[in-house]
Amino acid sequence: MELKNVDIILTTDRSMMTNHHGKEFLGFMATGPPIGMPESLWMWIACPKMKTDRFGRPWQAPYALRKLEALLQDHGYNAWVIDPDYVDLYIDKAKIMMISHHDYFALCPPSSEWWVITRKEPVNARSFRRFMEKTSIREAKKRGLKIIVGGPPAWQWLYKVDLWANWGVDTVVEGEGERIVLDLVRKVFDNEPLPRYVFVGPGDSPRLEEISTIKYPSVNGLVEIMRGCPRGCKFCSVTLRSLRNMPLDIIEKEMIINIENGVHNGILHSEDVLLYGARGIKPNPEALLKLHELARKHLKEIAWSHASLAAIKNAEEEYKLISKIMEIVKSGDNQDYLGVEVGLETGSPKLAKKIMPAKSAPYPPEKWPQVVEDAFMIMHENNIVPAATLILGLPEESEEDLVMTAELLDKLRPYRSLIVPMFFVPMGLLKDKDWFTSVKVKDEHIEVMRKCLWHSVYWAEDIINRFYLKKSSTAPLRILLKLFLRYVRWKGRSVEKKLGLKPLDISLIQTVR
Amino acid sequence: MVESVLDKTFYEIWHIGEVDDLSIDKIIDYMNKAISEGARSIRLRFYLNSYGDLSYIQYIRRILLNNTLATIVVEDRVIEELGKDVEKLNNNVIVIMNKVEKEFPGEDKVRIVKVV
Ligand code: SF4
Repeated sequence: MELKNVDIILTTDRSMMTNHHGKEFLGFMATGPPIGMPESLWMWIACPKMKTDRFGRPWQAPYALRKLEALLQDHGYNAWVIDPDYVDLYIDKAKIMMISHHDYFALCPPSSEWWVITRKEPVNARSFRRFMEKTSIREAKKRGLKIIVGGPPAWQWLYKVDLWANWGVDTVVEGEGERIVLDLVRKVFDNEPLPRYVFVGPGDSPRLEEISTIKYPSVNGLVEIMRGCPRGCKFCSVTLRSLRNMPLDIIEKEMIINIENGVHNGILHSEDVLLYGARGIKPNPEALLKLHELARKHLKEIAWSHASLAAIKNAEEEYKLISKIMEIVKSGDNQDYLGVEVGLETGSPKLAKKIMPAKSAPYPPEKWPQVVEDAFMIMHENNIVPAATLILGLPEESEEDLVMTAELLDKLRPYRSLIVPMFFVPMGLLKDKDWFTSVKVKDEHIEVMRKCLWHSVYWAEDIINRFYLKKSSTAPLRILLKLFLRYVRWKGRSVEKKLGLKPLDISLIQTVR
Repeated sequence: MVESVLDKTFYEIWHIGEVDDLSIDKIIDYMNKAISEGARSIRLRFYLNSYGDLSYIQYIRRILLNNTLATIVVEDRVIEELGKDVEKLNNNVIVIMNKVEKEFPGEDKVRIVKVV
């Protein structure tokens, strides 16, 4: 379809408009500053440019933008996702530019952690700033262009009021967008003033039938299978929103859209894939097997966005479900492993009880470290490769909690995984420009962080050798990543030396392979 | 059919005058009361001396960051629009006035709360 004008441009900066070479884990590098190499090379590894058609429509785009594009087109608007390099083609005549992001100012983990450790601004924030400071956008603003920004990190704008004003952002939207976006667009078209900030409460979350089906491919074939999460962790905003399972026919439709447009792999997106179709926190074997059979039928490679460790343990111990799902996943001969993000958060049952009492359910929070260890073992045995996050610096955290986390990390050594510590940054600190210098890092934090570092470096090399980037076309990237890991080893050792720390013996990891 | 967020009936709190911690406390008091009585759509409207001055946002952070239950719509207008807006009023509105002496059109739908 030819494109002359676009009334509503949906876009974001390069750190988001990329498929990370088809490898979601590489997206992690987009949250850090360039280390040991020039920014351009770092950006090429982490966020290569997206292929576009001659009108600047990207081949793949972030799922949230695809959902909005579909919603607006379904309501008769001339709205398109446009690659950031092509926005200038349309900005002169556009009425609205809508932007979505995962981390506008690099204030969410893991970006915030990179700030604290390196004292340098991560590339996602740099790239976003470059985009917003384009002269063409400034000019279009003078002419009356409306800018609406949203996504999970919308709250960050509350700490960047100067940029909010300088860049001429009209409205910031936090929460699920379906209903409010149509309201806002209507207001612009009717020349009515826009609100400055909207927090969409759980009561205004859309029902399933209000959610449009994507019309063009999403980044790495991501398809949403459910919204919401029932576990209610204290530090998380997903909770409180009602649970909605996407019907299989809608999921299939979106998979087919991706495949027909040449995106053959797919990521099943949910806060906890293993709760698809569940009532409460008990997995529903039938729904999960059907979902994975469907994914196997259509997709070359399947990945999960997130799963909870408790559900992994429960699904396997009660129903042998992880083994059954992995049998389905591996049955296509295209795939011998599956990647997923999991929340490890802490090794301390006491802290777990305080901040996430339902995360271990159906097991009691007192059993949390055992749940983690068992789930890691189950994943290792089934070739599921988790990228686990843990939270450091919560106000409730004690030194004893950190010691327990360090002990748990020792127990997890034999299991193939990446473990990424995330620093909790108290919101009060974010007011200051150089907030990252005020974050207090204790000795116990350093101990946990270096355990994570050596664990992840060791297993990252194993993952690259065994599963990742095996095709000859990805050889340059593989070589670069290996060089990068070598640099990280060297840098890690020199920092340990500087701090007077005895190097950790990572060879001890080699127990289970 | 996608439902509208903005067409719903809102619990209205308007603010006139200087935005500071005291006036925000007042807003929070009224918001908490409204939420405890079941309101789930709240509009906060700030009447400013000049359009585009977003300095009030730093004060409303604590309102927004502590809320998880209600939809909150924040608007700002120049003070000159107040009279027109009062004429169009359909619902009751709480008007928080801080460090400002302002004649308010006699409206039975308006409840004025003076901070200082
Ligand atoms: S399990 Fe994950 S998504 Fe669910 S409430 Fe906890 S942190 Fe949030």
